[in-house]
Amino acid sequence: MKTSATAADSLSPVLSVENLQVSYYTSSGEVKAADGVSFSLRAGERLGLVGESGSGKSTTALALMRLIKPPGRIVGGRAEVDGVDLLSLDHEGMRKARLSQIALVPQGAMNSLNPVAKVKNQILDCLWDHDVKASKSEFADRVMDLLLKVGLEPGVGEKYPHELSGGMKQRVTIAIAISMEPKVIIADEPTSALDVVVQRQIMETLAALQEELEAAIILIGHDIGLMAQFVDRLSVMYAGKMVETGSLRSILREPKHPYTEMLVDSLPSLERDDRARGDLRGIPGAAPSLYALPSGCPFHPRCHKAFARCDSDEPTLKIVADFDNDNERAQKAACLLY
Amino acid sequence: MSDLVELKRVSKTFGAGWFGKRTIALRDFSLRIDDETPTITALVGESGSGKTTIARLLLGLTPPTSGEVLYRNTPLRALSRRVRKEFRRDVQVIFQDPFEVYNPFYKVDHALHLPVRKAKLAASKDEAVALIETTLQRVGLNPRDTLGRYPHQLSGGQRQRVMVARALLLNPKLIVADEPVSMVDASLRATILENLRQLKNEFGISIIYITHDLTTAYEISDQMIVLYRGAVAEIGDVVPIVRSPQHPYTRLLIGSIPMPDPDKKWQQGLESSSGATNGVVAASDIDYAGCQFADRCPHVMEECAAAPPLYPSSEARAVSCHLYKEASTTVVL
Repeated sequence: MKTSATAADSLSPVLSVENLQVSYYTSSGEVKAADGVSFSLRAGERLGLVGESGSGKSTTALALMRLIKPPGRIVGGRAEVDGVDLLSLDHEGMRKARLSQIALVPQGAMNSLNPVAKVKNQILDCLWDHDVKASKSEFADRVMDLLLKVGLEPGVGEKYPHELSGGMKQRVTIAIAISMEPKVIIADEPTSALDVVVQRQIMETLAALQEELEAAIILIGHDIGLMAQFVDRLSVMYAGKMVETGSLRSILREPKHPYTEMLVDSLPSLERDDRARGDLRGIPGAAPSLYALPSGCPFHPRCHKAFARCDSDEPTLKIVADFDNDNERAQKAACLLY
Repeated sequence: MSDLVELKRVSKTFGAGWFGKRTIALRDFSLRIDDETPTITALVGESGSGKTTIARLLLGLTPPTSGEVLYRNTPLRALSRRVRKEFRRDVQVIFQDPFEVYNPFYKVDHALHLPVRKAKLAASKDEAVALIETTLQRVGLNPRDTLGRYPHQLSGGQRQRVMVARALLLNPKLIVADEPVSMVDASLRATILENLRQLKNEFGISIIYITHDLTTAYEISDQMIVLYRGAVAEIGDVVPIVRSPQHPYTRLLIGSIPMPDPDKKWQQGLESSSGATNGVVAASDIDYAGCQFADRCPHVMEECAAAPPLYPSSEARAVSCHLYKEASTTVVL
């Protein structure tokens, strides 16, 4: 798989997220599911967002799509696609922006397609909804073209979702996501329910389409192996905050935040020789409950490098390694060690 | 050498009847779990490969369609009441979803006290509590943080480790772990896998580790069985299989694993990566008796219309593929 550096040369970001705050208001109080998330993406760039369940990665994705449901609410921040702030669009404006500006490939394709509509009609719905005007045969051509692009036979259009395999359904969701040629594609664990062979095929299809559209892509997941195959940059989330961000290589080779370091260390590998095999190191403790976050750095109770200030001072993202004088792309970590 | 549990040429077919479509979940599968030397055996395959069917057969939760499941050389269906009880203590299970297995209305203590009571492991209440506490400590849990809580108050990793403790309480000989870490967060996964290894090394318990994740299988197992559509593709010691996979399916599987290494990208042009069929009879044909992988295999040949036996390719290894007919010696596993 080729990395997409070609289109990333244009310097202005296609997506820039600043200080995104999402809270859920529950009977037990406010829960900050995403707390001050900031990042930017250039056209053609691929960003990975990793974290455990409850770390805020899916919340970030849903917030960008403005699909947070009550009791959740976007409390603050900006998310600009080509200079237009998605978070301040009205309902109708956002509806138009979805698919044409920013599109989501959802997790678990099984549950995101309409079980009682033919695949072709589900694709056509997207086009109609965005006021595409065309003749009947042009629409049919467009559906066929989209299906071929995602590696499905045109005949699939006449089928219902239950007649398709998991991999084929996921391909349909990709066809829907690219139907209006969005500038940003968010893929939320697109292959978590598929086996590795199909996973690879789907990711290769997604990569090829993303390059063709020169779209920016955010891949959300917890499989760092998959990230290593796909993304250029990686951001690590923990307890609603971004704790480290940088190029894929720097995060995997020289992680700075102790959480990232332990996460990379805990990865099982096929590379270890026979004797070192099975020498697995988990991260002690458990992810904190968002209802009762520890004071200071949220990771400090599990951190082996924690020191006095960690339970009182809250760290913010700081540049920890230079990257060609490009502050946007530099490796940053939210840790008081730096 | 005596066998604790043995699957003897077992097949399992689901959904016969007039209208139902038949599915062959497992074809002519044999496996022996030795009583004396504990091993971790990984059953690897995609969904529908028959992994969970094997687990259910081993646990006696479902009878085989043909063949026998034996416990200490007696078929499960012919066990006396007394021996059946022993079997149920000797063979324990850890399921995939560490939430579904709990009754949410009871504290987790309930799930631990029940086996103690049923198997009469303790003479008094105090003894039971002491036993549960030591067992929890053995899997690295602090009893004070665990007992007296409801399942939803524990993390997924903790809940799964309580299940490991529950299995360990009964002092079993074999634990069948069906995807024990696939619903647990990455940072806690390693801890549970470490628990499983510890069960083998410290307590001499054999483990059947069922997974679709070859990487974790490689980390903790001694042996590996690669399954494809209910048939064994490759079987043997885990290191040689991962280092030099022989069956075309195993090669495809290992080539598709995303490595967490920026310098080890998926290679281009992986054999049959397209997944398209190559014109051979669709394997959805229930009565198709040939190699199950033939429709996706880049090396398919005429012989593949007959199911390949397990050709032993070296001392501790066998592969079910006609490509290895010549290389095979007459070693029997």
